[in-house]
Amino acid sequence: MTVLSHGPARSRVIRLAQWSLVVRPRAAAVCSALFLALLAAIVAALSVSVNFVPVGGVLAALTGHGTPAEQLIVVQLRLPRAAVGALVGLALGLAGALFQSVTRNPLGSPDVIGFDTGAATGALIAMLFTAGGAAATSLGAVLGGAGTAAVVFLLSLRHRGLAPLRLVLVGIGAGALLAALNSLLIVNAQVYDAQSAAVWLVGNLAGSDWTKLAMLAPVVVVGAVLALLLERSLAVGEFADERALSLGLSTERLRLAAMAVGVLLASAAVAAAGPISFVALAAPQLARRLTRASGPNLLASALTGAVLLVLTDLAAREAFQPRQLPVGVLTGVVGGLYLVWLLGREWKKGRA
Amino acid sequence: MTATTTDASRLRAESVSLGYDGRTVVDRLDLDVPDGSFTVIVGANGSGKSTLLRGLARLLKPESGRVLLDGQAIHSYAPKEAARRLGLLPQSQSAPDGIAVIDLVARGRYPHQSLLRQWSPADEQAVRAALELTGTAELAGQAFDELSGGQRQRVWLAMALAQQTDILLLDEPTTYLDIAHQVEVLDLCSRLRAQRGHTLVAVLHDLNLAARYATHLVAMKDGAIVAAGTPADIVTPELVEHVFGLPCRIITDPESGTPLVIPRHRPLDADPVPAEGETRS
Repeated sequence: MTVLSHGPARSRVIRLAQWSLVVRPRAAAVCSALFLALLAAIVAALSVSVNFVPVGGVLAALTGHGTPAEQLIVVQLRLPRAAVGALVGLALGLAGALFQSVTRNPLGSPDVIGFDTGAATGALIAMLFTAGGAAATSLGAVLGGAGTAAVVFLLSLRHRGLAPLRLVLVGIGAGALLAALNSLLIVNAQVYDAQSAAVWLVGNLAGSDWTKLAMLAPVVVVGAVLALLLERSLAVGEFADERALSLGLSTERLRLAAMAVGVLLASAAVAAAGPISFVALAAPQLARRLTRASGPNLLASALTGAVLLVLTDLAAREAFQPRQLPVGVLTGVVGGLYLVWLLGREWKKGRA
Repeated sequence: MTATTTDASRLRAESVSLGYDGRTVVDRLDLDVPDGSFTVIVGANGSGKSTLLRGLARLLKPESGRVLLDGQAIHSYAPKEAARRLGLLPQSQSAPDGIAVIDLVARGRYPHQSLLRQWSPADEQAVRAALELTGTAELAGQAFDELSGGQRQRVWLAMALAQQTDILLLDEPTTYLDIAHQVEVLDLCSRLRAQRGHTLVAVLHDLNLAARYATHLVAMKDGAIVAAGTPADIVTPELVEHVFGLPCRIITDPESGTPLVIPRHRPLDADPVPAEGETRS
């Protein structure tokens, strides 16, 4: 294996026989740092709380050497929540990066363009009108997300294919309609159902357990692999369509594939934790600023999403003791402010 | 130049009709692009010249007829295979946020790459050659957003050259450029043809630049070709009047010996401008 110093901008090329792989040292360093940060955040989430477990105790419990009490608190109570949080964050970061790349717009993330809201509608319908429990809710979320995506996609089609900006605008409109529908569902529900549905709608990691983790993990893994396979094409797809087509990219097929994977990941996240806002919107933008690389930055976006969500959940859980806030409240507040800033910046850019 | 018999042309249109939403712009048009030529398509706004180029570049699927590349319908190629034979410099200027020049040019190698072959020595060489040929090597590390219009167009051209296709289509490559940069881009195209034997097809607005640089000039009006040949053979006052509706004289360009179109002088009172306050009936 040889490493060449020349590649595209600030990159290295790893060669083995006729195969070659482009590696960007800065992006690789950022991803490694984010991975370490994620591990640290998870350990912190396992350690900090009313029943404080020192880091040594956390590590002992994780390796099966802790006291029975530590084992119970760390492995049975806190680990599923941290792990689900990390996976949901990964899924949201990836979904956000996929959608923002396909729409060529930082606002084109699933929580802004209605797919999360649609997934929530599906989950709410399952929650309020079936007795299927968690499995039905998850299925409802996936069907709701996919249905919304299909409708928005078809409404965005024009004679010369899909118009990315139109997708964002149609999506925002669909999101508003679905949010109203969600409110209607809750207003018309039984009081007890309505309350639990309203709590679920905020986005919460509190109910995470091993079953949820087992359902979520395979979907996220499959989604992540598929997304990473699309990364090089997505980078070319960020050019205008005629340029991408002239480079031999099937833009329509790429958009369909990327949206399918993005909807799968976003819906899985909603199914597991409710519609948590902000992470899908912000993670890709933060990741891009960290790696300073063009292109969708999928891996860095995924890791940023995971770090963000695990830390935000820790803060929502502990900062307002004795109350525990659902994580969605905190991401909503931070996300709202971020969205205002982003809209202002896009508006200025549009006028420049 | 190679022989331009019908059978030899690598790129040709056979009775091709092109349009948008069922509105036909180009109607049953035949075109042979001579191999190794610098073919320039001219015509008034709305004459269908850009539509024809989009059809040749497989961006538009013909309503009827076909575009043939190396004897095979261009839409039957796998997308990457077609992109290894024929490149396009579109008018679009949009680039991903914050992309570096070298990254942008490197993406021209996409049709030559795959998941397990992401950056070969051939890629390296093609990108370096494209940067040098377009004089953009010293811009390689800069952000594309920060370049001037002239620099950007040269970088786009470098990206198209990195694709290493023998046939290159250019959609109004001189738009937005000042006269010096227009000449620079067209000089470069001429060199690619003369030194490397590339076939170039460009849509140009400026008839005088077209006549100066084209080895094969195609004049279009209302979606049909009204004349094709060397500029010296076909550029006449009658043709310019017919195609552009412009009365003119043709003189010989003292620099290049090609035809030069001089619009007729019109007396200042020929078409009165309404006085202020007066409405035109």
